[in-house]
Amino acid sequence: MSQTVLKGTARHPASARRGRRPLTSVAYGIAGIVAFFAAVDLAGVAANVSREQLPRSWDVAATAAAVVADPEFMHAVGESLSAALTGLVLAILLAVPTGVVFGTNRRTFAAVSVLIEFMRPLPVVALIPPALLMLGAGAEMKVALVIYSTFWIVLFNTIYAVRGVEPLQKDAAKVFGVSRLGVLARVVLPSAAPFIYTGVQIAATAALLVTIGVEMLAGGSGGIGEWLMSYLNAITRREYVYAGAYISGVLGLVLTLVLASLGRLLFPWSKAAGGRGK
Amino acid sequence: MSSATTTKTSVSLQGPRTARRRPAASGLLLKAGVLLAAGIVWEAAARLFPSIFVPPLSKVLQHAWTSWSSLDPNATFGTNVFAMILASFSRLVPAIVLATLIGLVLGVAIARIRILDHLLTPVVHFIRAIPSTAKIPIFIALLGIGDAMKISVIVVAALFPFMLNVIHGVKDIHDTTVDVCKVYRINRSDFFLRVLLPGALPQIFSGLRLMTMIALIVMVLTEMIGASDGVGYYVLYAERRFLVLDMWAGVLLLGAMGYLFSFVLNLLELRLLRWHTAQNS
Repeated sequence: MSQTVLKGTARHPASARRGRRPLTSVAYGIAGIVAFFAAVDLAGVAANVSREQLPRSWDVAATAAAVVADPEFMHAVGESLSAALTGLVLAILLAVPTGVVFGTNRRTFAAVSVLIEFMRPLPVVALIPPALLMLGAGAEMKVALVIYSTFWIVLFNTIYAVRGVEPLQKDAAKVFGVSRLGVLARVVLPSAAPFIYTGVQIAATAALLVTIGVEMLAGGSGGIGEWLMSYLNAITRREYVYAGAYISGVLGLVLTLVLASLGRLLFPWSKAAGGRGK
Repeated sequence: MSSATTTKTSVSLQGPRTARRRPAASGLLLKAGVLLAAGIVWEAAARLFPSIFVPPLSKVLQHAWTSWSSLDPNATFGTNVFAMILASFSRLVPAIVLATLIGLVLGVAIARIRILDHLLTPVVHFIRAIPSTAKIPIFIALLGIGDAMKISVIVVAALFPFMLNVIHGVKDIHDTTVDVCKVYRINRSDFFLRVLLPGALPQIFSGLRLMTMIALIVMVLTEMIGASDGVGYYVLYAERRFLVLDMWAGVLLLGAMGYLFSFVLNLLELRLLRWHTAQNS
C-alpha cells in the first residue's frame, strides 16, 4: 500500500495533486451516484416496471426527507441502534478478555481456534427461531443475537492481534525486568489494540445487519427492520421502503465514519486504526 | 501481501512435505476432540438443567436421523433432507458464482481504470453501507418473494464486500510489477490472468470468505421471510409449530452447511495460494 502512495508522490508534483484531489473526487462521487440513480430510473422505465415496484428516484428522495423528519422512524432508528450498540459493547467486554487469555496461551489457542472455526460459519439468523422461543420478541432477544454474532468476530481479531505482537518487543520488555502483567499491559495490549479495534469496526457493521434482520422476522420487536416490513406490506407506499433502506445505508456510513475517526483518536500511534487510506 | 507475484520456485525450496503432514493429522484429532467436547457440554447441560427449549443433543441427532431419512423426492416437506439442502443450494450456489464473476470483472475494472474508480467507488460504498438485511425489503418490493428475489438479494449482498476486496487486492499489486509487464509487452489476457488475478488472490480469498458468510445469512433470512422449502424455512416452520427437536436439527444443519463452505474455501485456498503461504510463513 505504502509503495503506491510513494510512487504517486514521486511521479506527480505532490502539492498540485493533493490540492486538486478532494474537490474533484467529491464531484466525481456525486456524478457517480446521480448517474447510478438515473440508470436505475431509466432501466425501470425501459423495462416497464410499475411505480409500486420501483418508485422513481425523485419520489424516493422526497420521501426520504419526510422520513427523516418523522418521529416514528427516528424512534425505530433509536431502537435498532440501541440494541445493536448494547449488544456490541457487551460482546466486546466478553470477547476481549477471553481473546487476550486464549491468545497468550499457546495450548488454549489451538483448541479455541478450532471452536471458532466451527461456530463462525453458523449463520446467526439461524438462531432467530430458537431465540424467539426462549426470549420472546423483545429487545433482549435482539441484544442476545447481536452479542452472539459479534462475539466471534471480536474474539477472532483479539486472539490474532495478541498473537501477532512482535516477540522481540515482549522479550525486550522482559529483559528490562517488566513483570508478566506489565508486559501484557504495556506491550501486548497497546500494540494489539488497533487490530482489536479493526475487529470492532467489522463487528459494528454486523451488529446493525443482524439487528435489522431480526426485527424484520420477529414481529413486534420494533426498530428499522419492522418499520421496513410494515411499509412493504402497505403496497401503495413502497417508496417508503426504498427511502428507509437508503437512510439505513447512510446510518451505516455515519457509524463507519464515526468509528474510524474514533479509532484515529484512540490509537494515534497506529497506521492500522488510522483509516487504511487508499 | 504485495510481493505476491514472485515465481513458484520458492515453494519447492521452502515447503518440505514432511513438515506439513504432521500438524495436519494432529489438527484433525484436535478438531474431533473439540467437537466432541462441545457436544458433551451441550448434552450434559441439557440433562442437568432440563428445558423444553433446549433438548439434549443426542435426542436432536436421533430425531434428525429418523425424520429426515426419506429419499423420495416428492416426500412431504421436512422429511427428505437432501431435497431441503438442494432447495437452499439452488439459491445460494448460483448467487455466489454470479457475484464472484461480476465482482472480479467489475473489481478489476474499477481498480485499473481511474475514471471508473472515481465514479463508481462512492456508489459501491453507498450500496455496501445499506445493511444486507435492509436490502431484502427493496428486492421483495421489486421482484416479489420468488427465487428471483432471493438470488438477486444474495448477489447484491455478497457482491459489494467481495468487490471491495478485489479492488484493494489489485491496487496493492506493486507498481513495479505492472511496469515490468508493460516493458515486456505482456498482452492483456496474460496480464489479467497471470499477474493481476494471482497477485490479488490472497485478498480475493478473504473477500470470498466474507461473501459466503453474508450470502448464507441472507439466504436463510429470505427463506424465512418468504419460501415454502429450503433449510431456512424449515427452521422457522419448526419454531412456529413448536417442533423443538426439528428446529435444533435445522440449526445444526445450517451450521454444517456453513462449515462445508468454509471447508471448501480452505481447500481451494490451500491449493491456489500455496506459494503465498510458503512465502509468508
